[in-house]
Order: sequence, then C-alpha cells, then structure tokens
Amino acid sequence: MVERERISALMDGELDDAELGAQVKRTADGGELARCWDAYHLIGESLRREPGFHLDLTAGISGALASEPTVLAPGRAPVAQPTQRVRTFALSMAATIAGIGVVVWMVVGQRSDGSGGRIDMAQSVAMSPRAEVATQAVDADVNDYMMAHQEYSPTAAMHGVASYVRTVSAR
Amino acid sequence: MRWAVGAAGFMLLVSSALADNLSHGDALGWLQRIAGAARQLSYAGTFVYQQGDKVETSRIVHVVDGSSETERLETLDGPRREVVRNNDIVFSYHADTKTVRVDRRRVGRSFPQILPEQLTAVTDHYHVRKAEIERVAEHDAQALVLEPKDGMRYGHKFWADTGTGLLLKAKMIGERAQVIEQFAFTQVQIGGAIPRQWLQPSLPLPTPAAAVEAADATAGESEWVIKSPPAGFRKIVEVRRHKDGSTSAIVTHMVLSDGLAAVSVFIEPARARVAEGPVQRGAINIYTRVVGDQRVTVLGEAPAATVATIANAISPRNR
Repeated sequence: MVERERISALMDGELDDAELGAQVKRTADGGELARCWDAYHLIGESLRREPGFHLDLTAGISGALASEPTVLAPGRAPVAQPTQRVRTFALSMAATIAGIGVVVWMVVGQRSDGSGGRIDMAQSVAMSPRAEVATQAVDADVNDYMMAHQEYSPTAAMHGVASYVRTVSAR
Repeated sequence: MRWAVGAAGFMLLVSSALADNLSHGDALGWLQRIAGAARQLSYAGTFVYQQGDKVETSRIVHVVDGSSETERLETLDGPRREVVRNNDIVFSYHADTKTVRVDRRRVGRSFPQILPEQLTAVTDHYHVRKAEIERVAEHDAQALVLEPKDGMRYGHKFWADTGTGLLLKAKMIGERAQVIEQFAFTQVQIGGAIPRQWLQPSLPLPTPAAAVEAADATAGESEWVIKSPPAGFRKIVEVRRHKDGSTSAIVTHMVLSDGLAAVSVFIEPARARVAEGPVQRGAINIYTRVVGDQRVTVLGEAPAATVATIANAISPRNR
C-alpha cells in the first residue's frame, strides 16, 4: 500500500528529487508497480473521458481492480481524494520527470508490388529509462502508427506538410 | 420510330459520357498536379485545421533546394507541437509530453509515383469532376469534387492554386454530407525567398544513426493475407519496422489504398491484453483485434466500416 501511495505521489509530482530517481527505476521495472502505474493512468483517462487507445493497459487495470477495489471507492481508500489525483497526474508527471523521451521507429525491410525487397537498417538512438516512462502515454502507439501511415497515404501526400496536423493536433 | 428514339437516347448517353470523361481526365490531371506541387514547390504559410468542433492554426514551411527537401509544421494554438522533416528523417516534438519522436522514412513519398497506375482505381470508385474557381488565401483556386460511388470511402473537395497546383484548401466529407475535417490556408507564399530560420526547430534535435543498406532476408511472400478487402482497396506496400529502437519488436506494416484513401494495417506481438474493437481519433478510424498471439491494428482516413472490414479480413497465410 505504501508503494501505491508513492506511485500516486510520483504521478502527482509530489516526490522530491532524492526519491524521484529511485521510484522511477522501480516503477519502470515492468512488475507490479508498472501495472499499477498503467491502471492509474487508465482510470485518469476514463475520468477525463478521453477517447484513449488503451490496448495494453486493460490487463493492468483488471489486475489492479481485483487486488485493490478501493481505488474506485474513494470513501474507503486510505489515499485521500484519489480521484482528484488521477485527474492531474498524467500531465504533472510528464512535466516533472519525463524529460525528453526519444522514440525511434524505423523501416527495416520493404516489400512493394513489383519492386523486390531491400532493407533499410538503422541503428537506434539510445534510449534512457526516462524515455520508457515517457512512452507509457496511452496514445504513444497510435501516434507512431499515424505517423507511419501518412507516409503512404495519397491524401496526405496531396496535403504536403499540412498532413502532419492530424498527428500533432492537440486532443 | 421506337428505334429512332432509342438511337437518339443512345447518342445522348454517349455524348454525355464523353463530356464526363473529358472533365474526368482534366480533373485527374489536377490531382497529379496537386501531388507534384506539394513536393516540388517551396512554400510557407499559415493554415487553419478544423476537425469536429475543434479549430487549430498552424504554420508550415516547405523548402526544396536541389535534391534536398526540408519542411516544418508548428502549431500556433495550444501546446507547442512541431514536426520537422529533413529528407528521410522526421522529428516530431510535443512540448506538453516532452517527447521527441524520430521516424526514418523512405526517401521520396510513394504517391506521385504510384498515382498514374492508381488513376483507374480513383475513377472506378469516385465520380471526379472539376467545379468552380474560387478565391482562397488571396489566390485563385480550381475546385475539384470527388464523390464516392459507395459508402466504403469518404468524399473530397480540393481547391488547388490555378498557377502552381498547390493545394490551398481541402475538405473530407462523410456519408451524411457532414464535413469530417477541413484545412485551408489563410495566408500563403508560394516560391520566392523563404527565410531559412523558419525551418529552424525550436529545440536541438538528436542525430539518428546513418541508414545502412543491406540485402533483404525477408523478401518473398507476406506472412499475412487480406481476404476480400472492401471494393477498390488493394495492397500498395508492405514494410517491416523496428519499434522503439528495439531489435526484437518488429512491426509489419501494410498499406491498402483505392488510389486516394489509404488504410494501414499494423501487426505486432500482443503484449498483455488488448482492447479490441473500433476507436475514432479525429478523422482517423481505428480498429484493433487479436489474431493468434498478434495484435492487429487497422487505421485510416476511411469510414469505420471500411476499417473494420479490413481488420476482419486479415489472417495468417499458412492457415
């Protein structure tokens, strides 16, 4: 329970610098804390009624709900005003700890009708653990997909530079 | 007598079909011109993007210098978001999430090259006609209307600069004649001297490693088949991508197009549990499902039914 409170504090940007690094490391490990992190984010998205793209988060929230039903029952939760927290943590955590996450998405091989195949291999830009945290954003996959999609979309080609607006448009 | 009426009717039909075809050819010529202009011209301007009840202003710059192409888009409303492309490298920067994405794309976009062979597809599935000349952002613009022949694709209206062919305004129109999205320049400079600093990103961007050419070990048949996709949609390309710089996470990306609309299929190993079904993101429809141990995500600027049909038509080749 103490750990869950710390996750919540992490998301709210309430940890001090000394605690921050250690907590990010523990959370990014991919274990129980990472699932908790995902679940809290999903709850936040739902509360804000964002048409999110949840994908991998569902297993996380199911698990968290099974073991921690009080998350959705604020009156019984030991954490004060959890709903207030989930409303704000997504942005505040991003602002305080995410830093600059670098996401690399590269073409490694191509088959095109009639053109035969070849590979454009590329080394990846090194990623820090912070980048991992940044990419936990719910829409990360969809952003990657949309960016890749418009490279081949005839209408996007007609729009030229303007076609990027579909990807960068604030939601 | 009956024969004469029939013949006259037939002649009328033929002549109207001919007139229709002439305008078709002209309109299709304009589509090609638009696609070429977007890549070959240098231009800078401000445009407004409307989607649903949301309106946003952005600034864009596109500079072609010999064989080098650089472009930049920056949002002027809300959190600063920008995309900078220098030839094959695309950076996008979102100030609100403090994220930089790096995307290496193939040099040269596919559309202008594939357009001629796809023109037939466009006329098979859209009624194409030239409309009025209107003034957009102080330029005379030729309007073109593309009406879909079925409900599997959206309609379009394009306004192209009569002098250069640059697209100045565009509308995407849904089944109930509703505007799904539209963008329009409010001010644009085509050609002339465009200050280099307008292309300068607002923060230093990382330098990705150089691309390495290698023989393709994966050439051959795709591991996936799309059985009976919606009319007119055929596969135009298939690529495999490394995700997040990881060598293990490989994503298969296929693109289907009817010559105008495109739908992408992304296939990658399903991590944890996947929320299946349709999602809408702006003008883009998305459909996710699990096939075996793979997550299949289909998305594109097409009606939800089209995206879902394609998603449900995908299966592994060996089954």
